[in-house]
Amino acid sequence: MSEKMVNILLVEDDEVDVMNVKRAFLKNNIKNPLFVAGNGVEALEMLETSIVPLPRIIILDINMPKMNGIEFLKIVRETERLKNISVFVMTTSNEDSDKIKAYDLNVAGYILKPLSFEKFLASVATLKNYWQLCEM
Amino acid sequence: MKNLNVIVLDNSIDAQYTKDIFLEINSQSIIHLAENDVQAWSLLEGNTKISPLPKVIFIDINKTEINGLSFLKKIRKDPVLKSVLVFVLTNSYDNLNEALDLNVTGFIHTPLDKEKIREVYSTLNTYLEIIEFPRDNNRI
Repeated sequence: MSEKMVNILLVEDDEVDVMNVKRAFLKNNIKNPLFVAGNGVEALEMLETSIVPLPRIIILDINMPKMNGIEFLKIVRETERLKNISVFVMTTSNEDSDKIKAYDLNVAGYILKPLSFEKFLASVATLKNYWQLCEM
Repeated sequence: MKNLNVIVLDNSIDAQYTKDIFLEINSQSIIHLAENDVQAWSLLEGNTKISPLPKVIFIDINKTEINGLSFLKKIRKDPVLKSVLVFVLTNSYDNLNEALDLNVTGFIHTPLDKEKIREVYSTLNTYLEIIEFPRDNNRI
């Protein structure tokens, strides 16, 4: 995966969290092109109008305005050209109902946003190693 | 260390090796071996059903006797089993697109070198450590 440099789409409404992901990518030397959408509606517009190249990975928040992560994910799975994208939920929601809905829609992982940046960095490092294992 | 309930679906001698190294990496896990899709389905839904349901399946979909793709389709259609994490671990690139279309959790091309295989499972275990599962064990 590292050689192919697949595109990554981050769907996240919180600007601080967007900044944290960007910083964590930088610190972990993740050079994949990263695109950002502020909510599900914006992400779908970006994907449907090909404003961004088709990502192979989506990092998805759950609680967002306009269209939440689960609603967005459901549409992704129902859309032929998007349905096989690997989706990683990254959220503060520790609700079992959200986890169940996300896994029912075949997310590759459900990750709770750690409270400290150091722990967040470690989680992103783990994700990077995992992505490098996988064919996408 | 997370207590993982895993099915390894592989009919080669590598299956036992997978079990051994994964247990070395994560001694809290419980590994069930299945030689083919029928045995695996029985562990999930049949006479030898495991409780709680496994959270994770490792499958080599490119072994002919396993019927990996049809097994995957069956899992994805089942209202309860569809949420199980399925990792394809295989030394071939056959059926990559078909597996991705069935939303496998990951398609991992396994190296031949045994030490490198250990690294693969170690990375996989570290990944499984950071992800959350629902608390309701009957679901996933």
